[in-house]
Amino acid sequence: MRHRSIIVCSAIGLALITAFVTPFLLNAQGQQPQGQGQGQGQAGARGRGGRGQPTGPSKPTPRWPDGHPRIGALPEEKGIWGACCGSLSNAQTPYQPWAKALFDYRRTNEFEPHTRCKPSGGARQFVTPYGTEVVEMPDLQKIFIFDIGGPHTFREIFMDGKPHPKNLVPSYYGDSRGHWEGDTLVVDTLGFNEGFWMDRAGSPHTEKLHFIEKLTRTDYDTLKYEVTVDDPGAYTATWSNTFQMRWNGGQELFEYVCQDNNFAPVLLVGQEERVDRTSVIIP
Amino acid sequence: MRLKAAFVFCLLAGLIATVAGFAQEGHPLTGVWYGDWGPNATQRNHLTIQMQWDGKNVTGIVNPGPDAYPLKVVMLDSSKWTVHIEADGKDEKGTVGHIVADGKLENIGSYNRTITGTWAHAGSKGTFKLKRD
Repeated sequence: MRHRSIIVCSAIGLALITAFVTPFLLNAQGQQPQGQGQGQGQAGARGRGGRGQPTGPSKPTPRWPDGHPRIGALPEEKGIWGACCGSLSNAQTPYQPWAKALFDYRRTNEFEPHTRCKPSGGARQFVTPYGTEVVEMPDLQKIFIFDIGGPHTFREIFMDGKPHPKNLVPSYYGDSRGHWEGDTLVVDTLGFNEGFWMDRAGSPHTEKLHFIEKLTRTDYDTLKYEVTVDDPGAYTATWSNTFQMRWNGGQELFEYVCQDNNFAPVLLVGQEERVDRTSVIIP
Repeated sequence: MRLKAAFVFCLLAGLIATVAGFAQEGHPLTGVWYGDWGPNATQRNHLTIQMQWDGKNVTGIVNPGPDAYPLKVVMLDSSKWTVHIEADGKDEKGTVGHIVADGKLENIGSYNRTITGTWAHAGSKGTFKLKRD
């Protein structure tokens, strides 16, 4: 009887791991169940969330009737952007001493809020599992960015030309204001809280974070993503990095609810013996 | 029966593993810290310390309310995660004096990280422990 209990327990455990952990493993290995695409940072940081290179020359950048590039999918198609930028920072990143120490600590204690279903602002939104979908709504003067593998959240980019509101209440995604500079969508974001990592590697930030993103769809399959980080609370100077995202045609948002039986903390921590689990749980 | 017990055990184990986590944030000292200090285990003085990082310095206040007093010096050595605090204030008996505290920041990745160390106040020495809430 004891053997039967062990077998049943093992079978249940294996089934749970297979069902809930495999997608994260695929993502961690830079793969997705379907589609293609990967990012490449200037510093050599490879993005995640896609596989392979596109075959053959890419089609030209799709455009709106007014001439602006379309960042999202055409009405008759499906498509999402593969992940880009696992680590924004590099050896030249001008950390303040405490920020560098905290970054180093996080490299060996990868207990990221995202793994507990917290929303992830800034560039981290583009590194969630299964990529991101961009939905442009010119009539509403808004662009929405949905990160699929997160806690069922989205970012709203206001395109109405109005400035950031005063006295912003800090939030995970902050307040994003966008405008076009030629073929480049420039998104200026303020008002972040400190409850998330702004990249997968754990680059620290404070509420002073000012994030400037430049998105340029250079051809049908490529989205150039330039990031400028301005956070005098954590860095001694403004710094930038550039990445690429790949178009994953044929894919679209699906219902992914992180809070449902989330196994990511166990998987992404990876080294459970090094993590102190005695503290109060904050899911 | 044992099969049911095994099933329930596996589910509970999975749930515990699922939610075992805590948040990380920006500057490690920012936040509200609760705890106490005292010369021994029975003589303790309550402490509530609120600290914030302005990009260059950590500022803060001890025991917000009628008996509040500001922190004069807060220094974080991030190479060792040690903290040095100085202030002028009074304890729960009303004794006014200079405060010097030196502690070690631990469990940095936890929202409920801690600082423990020594606390000296107006000639009285003891230990302190603070936990971020």
